Formats: sequence, structure tokens, C-alpha cells
Amino acid sequence: MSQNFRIENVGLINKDKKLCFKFNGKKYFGYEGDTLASALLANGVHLVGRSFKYHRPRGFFGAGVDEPYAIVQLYRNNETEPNIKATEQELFEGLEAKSVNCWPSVNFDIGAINNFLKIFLPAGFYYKTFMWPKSFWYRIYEPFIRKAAGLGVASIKHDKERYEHKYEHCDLLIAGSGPSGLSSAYAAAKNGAKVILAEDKPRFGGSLLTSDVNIGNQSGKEWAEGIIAELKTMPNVVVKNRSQIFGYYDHNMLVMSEKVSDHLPATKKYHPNKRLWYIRAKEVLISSGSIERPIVFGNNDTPGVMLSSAAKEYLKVYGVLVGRNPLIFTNNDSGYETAIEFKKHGVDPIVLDSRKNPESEIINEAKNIGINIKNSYVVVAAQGYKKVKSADIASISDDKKQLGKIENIQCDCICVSGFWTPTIHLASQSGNKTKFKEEIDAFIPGQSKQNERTLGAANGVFSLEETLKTSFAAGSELSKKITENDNEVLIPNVVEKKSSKHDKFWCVPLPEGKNYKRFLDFQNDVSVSDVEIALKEGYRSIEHVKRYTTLGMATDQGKTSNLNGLQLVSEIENKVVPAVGHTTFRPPYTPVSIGAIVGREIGKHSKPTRKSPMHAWHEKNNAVFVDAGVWLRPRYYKRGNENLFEGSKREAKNVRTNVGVCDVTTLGKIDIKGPDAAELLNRVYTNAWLKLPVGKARYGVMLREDGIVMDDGTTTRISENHYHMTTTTAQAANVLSHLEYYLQLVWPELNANVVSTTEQWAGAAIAGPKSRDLLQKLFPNSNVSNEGLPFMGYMEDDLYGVKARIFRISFSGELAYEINVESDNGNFMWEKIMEVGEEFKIQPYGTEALSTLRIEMGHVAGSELDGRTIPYDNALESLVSKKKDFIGKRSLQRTAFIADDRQRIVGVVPLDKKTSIPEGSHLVKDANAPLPNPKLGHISASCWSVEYDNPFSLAILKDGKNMIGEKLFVMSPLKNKVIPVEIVSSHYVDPKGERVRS
Amino acid sequence: MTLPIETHLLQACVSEPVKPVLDSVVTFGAGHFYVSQSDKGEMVMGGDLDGYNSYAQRGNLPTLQHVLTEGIAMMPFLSKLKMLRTWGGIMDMSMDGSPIIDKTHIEGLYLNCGWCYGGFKATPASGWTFAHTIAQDRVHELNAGYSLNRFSTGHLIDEKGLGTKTWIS
Amino acid sequence: MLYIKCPHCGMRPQIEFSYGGDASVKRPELNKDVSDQDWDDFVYNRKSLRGKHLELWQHISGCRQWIKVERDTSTHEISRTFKADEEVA
Ligand SMILES: Cc1cc2nc3c(=O)[nH]c(=O)nc-3n(C[C@H](O)[C@H](O)[C@H](O)COP(=O)(O)OP(=O)(O)OC[C@H]3O[C@@H](n4cnc5c(N)ncnc54)[C@H](O)[C@@H]3O)c2cc1C
Ligand SMILES: [Zn+2]
Repeated sequence: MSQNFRIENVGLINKDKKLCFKFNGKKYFGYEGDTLASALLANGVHLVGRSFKYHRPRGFFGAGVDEPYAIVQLYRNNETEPNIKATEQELFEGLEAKSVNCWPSVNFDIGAINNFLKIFLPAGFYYKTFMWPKSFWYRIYEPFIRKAAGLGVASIKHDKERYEHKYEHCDLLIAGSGPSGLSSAYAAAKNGAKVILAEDKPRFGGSLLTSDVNIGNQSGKEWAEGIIAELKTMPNVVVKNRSQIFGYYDHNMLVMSEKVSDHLPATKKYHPNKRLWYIRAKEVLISSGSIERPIVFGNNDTPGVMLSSAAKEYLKVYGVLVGRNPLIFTNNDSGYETAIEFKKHGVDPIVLDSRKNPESEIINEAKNIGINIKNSYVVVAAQGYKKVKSADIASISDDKKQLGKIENIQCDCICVSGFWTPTIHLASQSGNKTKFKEEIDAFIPGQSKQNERTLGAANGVFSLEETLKTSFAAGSELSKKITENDNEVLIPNVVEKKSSKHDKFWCVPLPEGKNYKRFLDFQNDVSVSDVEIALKEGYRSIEHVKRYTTLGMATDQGKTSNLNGLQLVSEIENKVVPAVGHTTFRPPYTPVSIGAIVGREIGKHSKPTRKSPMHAWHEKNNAVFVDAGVWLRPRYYKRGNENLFEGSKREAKNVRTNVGVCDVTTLGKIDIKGPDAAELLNRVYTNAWLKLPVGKARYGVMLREDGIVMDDGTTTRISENHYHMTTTTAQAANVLSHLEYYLQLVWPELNANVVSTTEQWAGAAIAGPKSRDLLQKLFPNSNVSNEGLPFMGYMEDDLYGVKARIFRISFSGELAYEINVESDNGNFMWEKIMEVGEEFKIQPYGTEALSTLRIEMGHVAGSELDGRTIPYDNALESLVSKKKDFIGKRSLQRTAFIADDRQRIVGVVPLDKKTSIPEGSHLVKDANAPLPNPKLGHISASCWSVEYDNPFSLAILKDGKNMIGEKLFVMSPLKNKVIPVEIVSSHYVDPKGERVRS
Repeated sequence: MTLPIETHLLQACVSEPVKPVLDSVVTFGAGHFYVSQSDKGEMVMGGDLDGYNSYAQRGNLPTLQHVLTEGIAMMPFLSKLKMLRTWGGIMDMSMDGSPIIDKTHIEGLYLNCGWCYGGFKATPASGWTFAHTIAQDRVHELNAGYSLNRFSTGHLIDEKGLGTKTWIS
Repeated sequence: MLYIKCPHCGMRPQIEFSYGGDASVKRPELNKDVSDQDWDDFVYNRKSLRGKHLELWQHISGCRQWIKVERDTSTHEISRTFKADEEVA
């Protein structure tokens, strides 16, 4: 198909490079440098979608981020992405896109029935129409609404793209590369400041790309190119196109999303799709320009009605005519600029100006080249369904209330200009309280809140000369403050045409007897009458009106609609606009890729993975791993077809009969040194620590100040002033911070230091009746007898030339030892243990067997120390000193904590000795009691006892002390189980603890 | 009166609307993430606190990054969507994660606060029991557990076991 | 993201720190009688100030020192930071 609307020798696209693409299945071509929107318009395609609520035909309204209509489903490199703005998507070879929100096709859309039912869907339609009767919501209304919901279709495949993050610091961050951004960047760069200049669009230059001005005897565009070229050569400057600053956060942290690959058919190998920049800037210059706003009139959503600035951009940047018979409707001089461009390229526009007798250089030029201008004229309504065919126009009285006789004139597009709205989003996000500027009928930034300054059109300054002057000055001044350089830059002379004052007029009254829809928000189909209804129904706050009508809540976030909405509210309410106030601007400026926000920390990289030095051995020996916090630990070592249950049972049994070895490297380890180390321990743990001899270990429990158990573990006195503390794997980091808190803030007088040594030591627990024989063989020169190394004893020895620490401690309830060597020797130690242990039938055991062993012994772990239990609940009250004070002691006196029927740990055995008990189940007295069945306690941990060969669980049970022998029920609605059980002691195996001391 | 409450900051966000893909609310407790799809098609998402006392009603991006990371861990397709709107609000974090609905020692002053993350969904029950408490000047059995003095007596309702450090999660 | 001046290391991003709450809370001395009210005030009750708030942060991914930060809770603006043992006037 030929490009009927493309004109020769105009535009910044590369006509040498033709690109093929498909839209709604049909083949077209465009050029390198096109957007999908410009390429479609070049092909005469104006119908791109359907609106959200009424499914009215939608065309193109803008040429950039403000686009409310032209939203497509994009297909790229075997992937699909919803909700792409055709005005932002650059064309690439093979691009495919489809309309969204229309079924079965954009030309024949069933949802458009809503358009004829619109009586049914006024403002607040969610809240009212679908409320009653209640049962209708689920059966009828919600399915109906849901079907209509959404724009594009989310791909449910894994995202194969890569997203990177970058952290930057700079002196000046400049958002936007129009004349203000360029000149301030240039001035700052000349002073040696570290500058980042970000431009959202593919091309630098902002308004200079389309405006007819001269700077320093060059066209504006040439001047911009020169500045950019020079900035690019400077080592202290980073210039980035396709890069949008979308958020202004605390302490001058701004975030930028750089589209690295979206303009390419596929992301290059090793390249990210997008790059997210966290930028900490000393100073921020916001030069984000302004967005043209529409004038509201009847059927102003018909395809072919668009912003006049967009029409000019399509022409000047892309060489595309948006129509051959354009009607331009304006309340200011900008419409004339578009008209002049049309005229220059052989097209005869008609200009309707709502003003009576405007005069300016621009208007004169328009007149001089013979443009047909009608003053005090307005568009009453666009005519045509899928495309503008004509316009009803009329003259308007000076007070803008009375329309003259309606005439119909032919046209194929209507280009509207209702003046300019400064893009104040970033300033507002920074915390700047914006103020209303009467002369431009719009808000501009007020007092700076952070180190930010807004320049040029974003600050409501529409004169180029003024913009350059203030921007050069700002760049110089702010950079000088930082670098102390003061290099003068000459402000170039400027030739621009002077314009006349705009007209405050923004909405065309309805003619007698007509009920045209006049839209404010084009994507969400919010019309003037919707806002009127909202106000009639009593909504006053603009925040409420916004939510009730959904004005400004579409994917364009009201960039073209918010101000007109405010105008309307202010008129009806008879308040000035600033009294109505605008809704809060929050990041992001435009929708930002979630993949980019998240970056590379996904999947396996979402958290660091920690592995013990013996990890490779475990892998080689068929370990099945489990996540333990960020650690990977062997859960069991699979033999043949064994499942978890069989494997862990075998391993646990082997510990009880022979000897097993378990990797305990993950336990937190903290080195404590100093003359007051013992005193610190004495304050931190609930039991007494002042008299622990050198070479001895002790078990301890520490509390939070609210009396709840925080962690447990053993601490060993290595030498006079040196202790080695162990913590649970999960609490290692918290315990270290806890100790540091008390040492640094609460008891700075204590002379002790703590440091984490978790990484420095590899640990292996050897447990089982034959563990002593094994230990003796490993350390033949030491006396490891019950006398030589008694329970809770400690010694140091040499393991085949490697320094080792040996602790006689036990978690399994068996005779057991723990050997620590420096991490680098971990694997050596492990292999030696396996080698020497062979004759004792040693087997490695994983966390599952470890759990089984500790559960049937009634040793508490994380599932009991769950942040809700006190020592008594865990049968640890004998460790609570009555004599000394310690962290959390005062809280233990609270009534609930000393109540007679306080919860306590118990053992639970199913009466049938067969049924496994799900963890987390509730214990109840009567399985048939009405719901909610009073809960007496919960199952904290379950195992299959290898000692008794039946299921066994631990539970935290109300009045647990007096419940031993009781018969209760375990209920698990989740697993649909009711199990009759008996309550027994939590010390199911070896209740006297004889084995560990044997 | 000082209360066992700290004021924190919570953010939430919505994606651009897409056709229905999720018909229920899904929460990911271990990852601090929840998501549901609104009738308009937006994915409504949130999770962790920003982690420091705040009345500012403005959050920072790293927290949302963290929340969305957990979201992608659970539903990888979220990666291809775009975040449309974010907002941050004030969160009255009580010290055990449960609200306080009670009389006070000052006659005529009643408390209904400390709702943490969950004050919307509880509105009917919270309003009803609070009305009862005010009208009768005594608590209803349903809110008896949500007393102010439970912190002194130790009758805490700590669902998650975070205790007094509400900012740790 | 907040930008916090660690008195030991200099300006560092918030992600290097962990928060520790109201710094004005003082732990009652050990081995002294403490009234219920004082104990509850220490463990649970917080002023939760709007405005200038002296609070604790720990530079966990840095020097591991606990520091005091004076921050406005209504704007997040940080006015001053102190070492753990520095007196705050
Ligand atoms: C981002 C975010 C997401 C959330 N998501 C959920 C969710 O999914 N589900 C859920 O159940 N909950 C959610 N919540 C929590 C829920 O919003 C709150 O728990 C709930 O709003 C608390 O209700 P409230 O009436 O106690 O207080 P608020 O709703 O905060 O109302 C307090 C009112 O008091 C006014 N006020 C304050 N001081 C004064 C004064 N001195 N004089 C007069 N008026 C005053 C305030 O302006 C405000 O209107 C969320 C909260 C946030 C911030
Ligand atoms: Zn530091």
C-alpha cells in the first residue's frame, strides 16, 4: 500500500530505510525513524482502537506520552506486550500490532453497544448501577464488567527480557532536552559539572524540532544538534535519549527508565531491554516542557480530532499529513503555527479562532500567506463516526455563551489548541506546592522543596528568549556553586515570532436541543455531563470527583484532561481553579515497566544463595537441597528411588544406631571478646554466665525486651576473654544487631566486642552412639573419653594438620560432637570424617533427619521459638535465672505470662499410631463442636519417630502442663483431616537425657 | 496519652489495565506481597512498609522494587506489565499487629486504631463493635481481646510474632 | 530513597541501613525496680512524633555502628546525624 499522506523532503526520518510492519493483520510500510503512529497516519489509518467504556472509535490524539487513545497490543520477537502507545513505539522491521478493547474487530465492535446504552453508564456507574440486588453482582454485573475490563492482553509467559539497574551520582540532572534543558546543560557542562541530560524521546531538541525559530543564526533544530554534539564529546556529561525521568523521590533521588531495545526487532545478546537508573543529583533542573490541551466540543473524540501540536509534529518530524482538508480550532496562536506548516506544504487549512480580534506576528504571517481565518468561531461538533467527515461550526458571542447559526463544513481532521499546560509532574513529586498562574490558566511550580528548579515551558515561560536567558543562567549558577568554576557562556541571539494572548475559553456550549457527548477524558470516556452528575450528587473534593468519574485515571493519567476537568468544576462550583486545587501528582510520570523496576533480582537472583564449603560434596552425593533462609542445605541424600520420607528415616535411624554427620555450617557464629564478654552474655541470656569455665560450653536462651524468646544456642568459652556464640541459622543477623545495639547504645561501658564469624568456620556435627569411636580415630592424640571431653566440653586439636575446634554438644539427643575448621578446610574435614567413619557405618544426614531427631527428643527450634513463646512455653523455665537481671526479664512478670493455664510444649501421638499429623493443625477438645471450634493449641512440628516407628508431633497447648494423658483431636481443615490424639511429654525419647551424657 | 502505636508508611500500586487474568486475591505471606485484579483490569499490588516512622504520605522506589520482586517471583508474567499509579499512606502500626478497640481511662474517649495493614476489610466488624462500645460504654465480647491494656497484661494477639519492632518484617 | 550521613562513613543510601525506631526511648537500668507504667512505656508506648524525630539507624552494610538521625517524619528531611554516644542538644 502506498503512503498517501507522506510528503517529500520533509521530516527527520530516514527515507532510505523502508520498514515493513503489520497492523491488525494488514501489511504496511514506513521508514526508520517513524513511530507506529506516524507510519499508520502516513498510510491513512486513523482508526486504531475503541474507548474503554462506550467502545467508541478511537484515532490518534497526540504524538507522544500524552496519548490517550492509540493503545495497541504489540508483538515483538515471539512475545506480546499490552498497552503500548503507538505514538511512543518506534517502528522496527517486522513490527506487529493489534487494536485493543475491540471484539471481533476494530471496525465492527460489539462493545460499541455500550455507546447506545450510555444512559446505563453515567459517572459512578460502578458504584450505582451494579449495586442492587446484591446477588446480581456476582452473577451478572461483575462478569459483564470484567469482560469489558482491561485494555490489552497480558502475556502469561515468563518474561525473557533482561532489565538492568544502574546507580549514578551527578551534580546536575536535567530532565528534558528542549531549549531550556540544552542551554542549562551546556552552561553547567562548561563549568565542569557532572551533568546527566535525559530525553524521553528518541530525538533531542524538544520543541526546537518543530518550531520555526532561529538561535544564533541557525535554525532551532540545527542549534540543538550542535549543542548535543558538543555535549557528547565532554567527559563530564552523559546525554541519554529514550530515557524518561519518571519519579522524583526523597533526598534528590530521581529514577530514570532508559528504553535500550524497544526500538529494535529484538533485544541484542547481552543487552538489557530497559535500564533503570537510580540517580542521586545535587541539583535537578526540570525542563520537561508543556503539553497542549484540547478545547472541549461535541463528539470531540472522533478519530481525526487531534492536538494541533501533534499535527505539526507529524508533519515536521515525520513528513506526514494528518489530513488534506484540515480544520484548525484554536484559542491562541499555536493553531496558526500548525496552519502555516500545512499551508507551506500545499494544504489549505481553515482556522477557527475563538478570539475576536487577535493580532500578532504569527497571525499576520498566516494572513499574508492567504490562510482562511474565522474569528469568534468555534467547532460545535465533529461529524463522522469512524473518522471526521465534517464539522458543525458556529460563531460565538463575546461572552462565549451564545452560538450563532450552525454551519456544516467539510474537513478530514480537526486540529485543536486550547493553549499549553506546563509539565509540572516532577516538581510536584518532589514536594513542591504548585501555584496557579492566571496568565496561562495553568499550574506552575511554586517554592522549591528539594534542590530542584523548573525552567522554560514547564515553568510557564513560553518565550524562547526568556527561556534561554533563564536556563543558561540557572546552569551556570548551580554548577558554579558545585565546581566553583565560572566560565562564561554567551547567550545566543534569538529570532522568534511574538504571539498574542490566548483566550481563556476551553469548552464549547451545547447548541439548543443537541446532546452531544463532550469528552474531557478520552480514554476513560469521562464527559462534561459525567462531572456535572458527580457534582450534583454532592462530590466536592477534586480527589473524590476524580475517583467517582475516573477522570484522569486512565493510562495517560489525565495529561490532556485534568486541567479542563478543573475548569469545569470551578465553573460549576463558581470557584477559581486554584481553589478547586489539583489532584496529587505521584510517580510514575508515565507507566513504567515492572520488569525494569525489579531489574535482575528475579528468580534465582532474587536473594543471594549461600552455600557451605561442603556444598559440592553434597551435590555429588545426591543431596536434595532445601532453602534455609538464604542458605541451601541438604534435606536428605537420596539413595536409589528413595523419597524424602524413606531417605530421612534411614538417615535418622542410622544416627540412633551408628553415627551420622550433618553439615551445620549455616549456624550463626559470633565471636565475642573482651574483659566484659561474660557480663554481656549474662545480661543477654536468661541463665547465669559469669562462672562458665574456660573450655566449657553452655546452652542459653535470649529474650526480646517483651519477654518473648528471641533465639537459643550454645556459647563456648574459648579462653579467658574470648567466647564463641552460636545462633540459629535464621536469627544470625538479628542476634548480631541485637548485641551491637546493647553494646553501642545501652551499655557502652561494657568492654566487649562482637563480630560475625559465620563465614569463617565450617561445621560438621557427628552424632550417634559410635560418634566417640569416630572422634577418637579422627583425633588419636586426644583423650575424648567421657572424662577427657565431657558433655558440654570443648577442646582444640589438629585434624590431619588442620586446626580444629571440637565441641561436645548435641542437637539430636544422641552422644554427639561438633567439629569446626576454617572454612577453606571444610571439605577436607568432611571427606576425612566420611573416610574414617566408614568402618562405623557413617551416613550423612540432612535437615529432615535433623528435625526428626530433635522433635522426638523434644528440643525446641524455630517452629516453637516463633516469636510468640516465652521460656516456660518451651519448657525452658529452668534456664531463667531468678537472681540476676537480663534482657526481657521484667516482661516475664506479666499476668498472662504467669497464668496457671499458660500454654506449654507437649508431645502429640495419634491414637492409631499411623496417621501423620499436619504441621499447623489445631488441637480441639470436641471435633464436632460448632465453628469456630475453640482452639486449644497448635501443632508446631511433626515427624515420624524412628525410635518408636510411629508419628510424633510437638505442640504448643494451652495449660499443656496439666494436659499430659488427655485425649484431644487434631483438626486440619486445610488437609481435611480430623485425628484423635493423645497428649504426651514433649521428651518422647530418652526423657532423662542420658544418651548425651553417656 | 502515648499509645503502643507507631506511624509508618505503606505504598501500593496498580498496573495498567489488562484483560482478566486473575479472579481472586492472592497473598504471598513469606514474600510480603498481595495482588488482585480490579474490575477495570488493573492489577492492584502491595506489600511491605517503607520501614521508618512517617506521616509524609510519600514513599520511595526501593520498597516497591522489593514488593514487585516478590510479585514476579510468584507471578512471572507481571514483569511485562507497566506500573501505572503508586500511592503511599499512613499506617498505624500497633505493637502486636492487631487493632485496639477500647474505652480509655478518660471518660468519653474511645479508641479504634492500630489497624496496621487491614483496616478496610475489617470496617463492618470494627464499626459495629466500636458503636457497641461507645453506646454501652463497655466492650462487646467480640472486641474484648482488642483491649489497650493487653500490652501490660501480656494478652497479646501477635499473629506473626514480630513483637515490638513493627518495622522489621 | 533516603540519603543518610553516617557520622563514621559519610553520605550513604538508605539501603545500607536498618531502622531502629525512636532514639529517645531509654532502657530502664538493670536490677532496679521498674513500675509497670515505665516498663510499658519502654517496651511498647511510642510518641510517634510528626515532625522532628530523633531515631536510631544501624549502618549494617557499612561500619555496623548504630547512629542517631534527626529526621522530619512529615517530610523525610534529615537535619542532623549523631554517633551513638554523642549527646544531642
Ligand atoms: C497503601 C495502603 C494500602 C492499604 N490496603 C489495604 C487493604 O488492601 N485492605 C485493608 O483492609 N486495609 C488496607 N489498608 C489499611 C486501611 O486503609 C486502614 O487500616 C484504614 O483506612 C484505617 O481506618 P481508620 O478509620 O482507622 O483511619 P483512616 O482511614 O486513616 O481515617 C482517619 C481519618 O481521621 C482524620 N483525622 C486525623 N486527625 C484528625 C483530627 N485531629 N481531627 C479530625 N480528623 C482527623 C483523617 O483525615 C482521616 O480522614 C491500606 C492502607 C494503605 C496506606
Ligand atoms: Zn557507617
